[in-house]
Amino acid sequence: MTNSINEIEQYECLFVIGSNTTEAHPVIGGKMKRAARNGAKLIIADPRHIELVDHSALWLRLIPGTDAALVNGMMNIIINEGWADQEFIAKRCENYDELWEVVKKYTPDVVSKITSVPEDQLRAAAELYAKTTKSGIFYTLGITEHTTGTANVRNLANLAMVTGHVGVPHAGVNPLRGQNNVQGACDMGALPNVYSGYRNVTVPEHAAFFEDAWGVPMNRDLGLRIPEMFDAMHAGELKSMFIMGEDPVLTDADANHVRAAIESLEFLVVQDIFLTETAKHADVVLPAACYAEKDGTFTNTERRVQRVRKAVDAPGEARADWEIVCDLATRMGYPMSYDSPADIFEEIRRLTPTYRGMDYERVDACGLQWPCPTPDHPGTQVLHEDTFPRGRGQLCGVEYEAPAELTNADYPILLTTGRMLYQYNISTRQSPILDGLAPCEMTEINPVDAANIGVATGGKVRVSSRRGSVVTTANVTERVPPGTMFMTFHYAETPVNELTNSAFDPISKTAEYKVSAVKIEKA
Amino acid sequence: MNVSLFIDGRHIEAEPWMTVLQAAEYNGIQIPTLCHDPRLPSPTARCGLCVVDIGGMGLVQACEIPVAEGLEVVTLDPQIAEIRKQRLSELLSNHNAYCEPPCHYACPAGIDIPGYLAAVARGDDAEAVTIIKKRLPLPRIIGRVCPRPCEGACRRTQVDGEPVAICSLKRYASDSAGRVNPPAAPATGKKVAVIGAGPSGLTAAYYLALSGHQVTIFESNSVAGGMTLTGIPPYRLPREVIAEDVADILALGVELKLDCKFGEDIFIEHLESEGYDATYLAIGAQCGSTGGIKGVEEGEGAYSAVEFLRASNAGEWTRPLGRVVVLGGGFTAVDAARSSLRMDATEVTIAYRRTRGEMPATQEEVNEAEDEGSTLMLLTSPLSVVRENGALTGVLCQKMALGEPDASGRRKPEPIAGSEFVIPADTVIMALGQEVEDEDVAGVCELTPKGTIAADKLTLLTSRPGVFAGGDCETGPATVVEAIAAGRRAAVAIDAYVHGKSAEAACRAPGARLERHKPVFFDIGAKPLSDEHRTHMPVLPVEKRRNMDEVELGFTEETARAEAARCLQCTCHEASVCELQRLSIRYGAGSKEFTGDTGQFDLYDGSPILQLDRKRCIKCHSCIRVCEEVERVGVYEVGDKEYPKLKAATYKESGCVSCGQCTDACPTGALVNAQLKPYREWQIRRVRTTCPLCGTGCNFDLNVVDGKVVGVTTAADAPVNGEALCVKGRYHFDLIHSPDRLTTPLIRNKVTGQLEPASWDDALSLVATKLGEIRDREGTEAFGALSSARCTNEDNWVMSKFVRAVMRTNNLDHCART
Repeated sequence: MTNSINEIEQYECLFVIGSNTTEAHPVIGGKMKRAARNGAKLIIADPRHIELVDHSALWLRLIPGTDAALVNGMMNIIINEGWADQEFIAKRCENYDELWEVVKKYTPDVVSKITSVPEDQLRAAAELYAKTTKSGIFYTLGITEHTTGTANVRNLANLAMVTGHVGVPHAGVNPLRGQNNVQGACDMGALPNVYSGYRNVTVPEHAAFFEDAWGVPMNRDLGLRIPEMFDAMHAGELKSMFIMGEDPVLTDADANHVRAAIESLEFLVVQDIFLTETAKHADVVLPAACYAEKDGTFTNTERRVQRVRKAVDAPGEARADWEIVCDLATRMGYPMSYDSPADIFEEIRRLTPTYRGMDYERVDACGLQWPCPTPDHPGTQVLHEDTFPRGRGQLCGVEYEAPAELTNADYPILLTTGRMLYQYNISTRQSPILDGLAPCEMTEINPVDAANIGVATGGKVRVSSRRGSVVTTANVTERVPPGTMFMTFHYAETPVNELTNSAFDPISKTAEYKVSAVKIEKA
Repeated sequence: MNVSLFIDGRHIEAEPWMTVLQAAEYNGIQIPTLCHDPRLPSPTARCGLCVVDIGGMGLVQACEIPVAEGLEVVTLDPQIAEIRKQRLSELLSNHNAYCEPPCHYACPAGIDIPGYLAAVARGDDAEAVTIIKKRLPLPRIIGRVCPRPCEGACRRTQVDGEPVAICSLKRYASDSAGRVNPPAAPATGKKVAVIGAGPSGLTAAYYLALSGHQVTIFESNSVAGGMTLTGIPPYRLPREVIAEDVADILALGVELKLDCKFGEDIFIEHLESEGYDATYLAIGAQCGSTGGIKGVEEGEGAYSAVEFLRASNAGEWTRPLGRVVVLGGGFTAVDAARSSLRMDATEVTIAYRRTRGEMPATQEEVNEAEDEGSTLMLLTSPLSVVRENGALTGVLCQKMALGEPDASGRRKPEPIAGSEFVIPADTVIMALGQEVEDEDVAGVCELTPKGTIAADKLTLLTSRPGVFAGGDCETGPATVVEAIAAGRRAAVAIDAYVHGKSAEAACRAPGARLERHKPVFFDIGAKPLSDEHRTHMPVLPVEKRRNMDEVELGFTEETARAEAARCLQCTCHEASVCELQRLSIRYGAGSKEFTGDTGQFDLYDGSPILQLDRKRCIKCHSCIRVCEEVERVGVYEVGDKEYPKLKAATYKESGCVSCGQCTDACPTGALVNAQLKPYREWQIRRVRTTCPLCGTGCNFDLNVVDGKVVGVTTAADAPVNGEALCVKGRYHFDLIHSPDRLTTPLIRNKVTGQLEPASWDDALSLVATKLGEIRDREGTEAFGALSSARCTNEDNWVMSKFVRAVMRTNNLDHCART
């Protein structure tokens, strides 16, 4: 997030796109609802009638995967009506003309046809977002889990920049991170292209810096992203794998492809707290402590580094992840020895500029938001206040591209996937309390589509895509429009990733979980 | 522009939109309130407690008055205090709840008595035994022979003069439930020796075995049970009952070596050399005292009660008894008298030097002895045994009168000069106390001048490293339930000791120590759920008591359930954090006049996570308002008599999103988190941490009881979420202790294809070898790793370093959906 969670209740306009916030991030959703109570206007762009729609001033019910067109349409209106912040554009941005070359084609009538959002609603949304002072964008995986995910994000940045809604409190472009520490995992360089603090592995001085710090030569070639790793396994090039705390067999798109890749490995190690679907394929399984059984830090979606504290002992012989990996490294001839997580954090701090001013004592009570470069720096609530990391903000025209897979006569229904309130990804199935509240998948199907196959709420439905087939239970509801259905990915009994398309974004390599073409039959 | 005003003479600044209540809060000045929530925009003035005196206005509610320049506010004076006291008393008069149970405080073992009585009342005997066995592993025995200090404290006596039959319900539950053992922890490989299979030793063995230790009990007798076996007669405690409790403990893998006397057959040096990591001495105080009575040693006929009961309980007493005089007034004396009557005694007299009310035996026991034919001779103190030609003919006694109270608080008996007289007797049984057989332990560790084993009062550690002592051998003769309490404490201390941790810290930790949390009492009118009178224990008719058959016959299921329902359940999860309780104590509010409308409302308990009990509700409407205005859902509405009610039949149908914020808003225990309801504030250790679900980064407190996370509570100072949490953050915690957690490394067996448990050393050696071999054979790019967005920064850092520095590749990623 460029801005911070505690600002939300003071916004005057929140443009929420591709985020079912009250279910996926309920505490942030609560703040949005209270912002609405305080008088803020909510613009919700979502194909589904999510809870926030009931608190909104405007609901843009777009067709899944048409986000880029919608945002272009809003910019088209904003610029034509003179609502753009030309002073901000002149002072802080570059490449405006190129952006306009693209955006000018997305007139309201064109956009309305692509997205199915009426022109008057587009116009109202553009005016409300652009002309309100405290106006910010919030998005989640509804934006990124597309083959055009990276472009979608850039386009939201375009929208914020042309209206000057960035670099000040109560504004910005605010992705709500799905996982507790996806921000931290990225910050730590658990990525194939960067070291900690987003320093590219192909830049010689960064590699040299870590060679100096860690005392061994660094590989200067980009590594493989997850989908590329599966492809490399299929090609027989990647032969051994260490998986810590992930379950790609259940969570990654096109499960059959993933399973076959994993099975082709010569040696697989899985380290986790449960015997996951992936662990069942492992040669060695290592038992890990869960968050309540170890010390450490998580970094949240607003870049706040906060403490995790040990409350109870790990079961049996389970050990903290870091302890296990250090032990292994030492056995492989590279001694890694730390007294405690605080000791590791000291190394993180020393080698990562954005974390340099932090230590366990400073983050103890309230955490600190990076960048925090010095021990007396108070942390950073709002990013890009005076300048962008690269200097000027680069505007970049984004053309609308249809999703990789479209519906046709054989697969006439558009399947979109996501989360629901009572489950968290795949981990809460192990909580009897939460699972008792929502014990099985209830697939949302519009009454029109349900009538076509003669199924009612509670009835069984077979959902099939070009890749696989799953039997699930129907929840016949107007929450989804006709021709669109919604499933969650929480339940191993209804593994939705048997159906999803592994076609991925060319840059982030994130698969298009949000759009697949399927057919449904009564089961 | 800020407004300045004066509160209690102090000059403060406030923002113009604030009320006087908010201005005070903003400046850290507390004005009592039960209905104001800082998250809510407007006041309701429902609780009526924030009354203050404002110059020019008089008595007003601080939540209704906007700040104004120069206001002079008095927050407390005698008149205001009286108004608050009256208002609180009015609230309490309709608040059918009692905060904390006095029975629990009175129980030496600290059993959650209301908890198990509630389980019996609802028909869940196994759950009742589970609760009991958290503190006491011999429920069948204690359910028969406990001196019942709990019943003396029971608040039910306020209602109808008679306590709940707490002890007999323990017996009922354990007799009917059969074997209920919790699962033991994985084996630790540590060995512990327990000396003595009495109640203290058996208890220590039970808890040590549950902690995963290998326990061996050494017992000098040929049967386990200690003094419960040798000291308590079978008609009070049948032998098969003892055997069942013992069998439950042995079923956990505890080894029992009988006929093995410490100091003769086995020595401490043997145990130490055989690799026992610790020893618990629980040898009891089995040597009867003669109390300094003259003439005892000069011939036959005078015996200690210990000696008599040991032989008679075992059916080995052969000497004719004739006329029996029992000296003493405790359980042992009464048992000796009743046993004598069951044998061939012609007359039995109990001589006791104080009065009936001071007898340590319970009145029920004394009554039974009298019913069976014993004569009680009070204020009678023995001086010597009278013999003719060596044969015992009587006891010379003197009459006593009660004087000033002594150190025990009882009035001290003083002899009446010239009152000596002889009670004719053929047998004298002395129940005048017991002593430790100190020659057995001399040389093992230090003893006290009284001949008991000297041990640390908290950890029970003796002067010898690794040797602990508890029960009668450490305290001197005491009750079975006290011996059990010591056994449990010893187990906690030994568990810490063998793991190289501080026994002292372990014994002081919440949950581990025997909580002796003294309840804060204040009078609240009691309105029982059941109007039944105490069920009296059915007993064997007196004429049939000429054998060793059990006298007390036990409750039937019907009587047990009815009796358990008499419990007032004087227990509340919110006790000691409840604002109503805190303010009522502070203002001295409350009366025993109960005027409320209890019983008219059903419990909303259909949700596994929320429970609304309107008996405890004070109609502040905070729940209604928080749901409506903070979470913006609105599941509650104002119902009959202004109580909150759900808009539909259940939480789910009312649209509840289970955020739990209404439970935090409730100032009493009316609306609680059902998961935390069984626990009291003083049991809970809280650890602040960050939620592992979604990227919001909410902070909350994990609530830990007995080493387990039992719930989650919010913290107002959490930087991101304050008091808000979602259903996942609040209720996911049970996955931490899921039985499906991985607890040991697994290696795939090449032959069977199955994953099989392995040691860390084997597992990591294999991983190191294989990863190294493939890297060296196929190159660095043949390896890939997934790190995790669920793990900590430190875990991810170490993984990143491992992949880059050891595996020499950048093939490292993490995915977004795990």
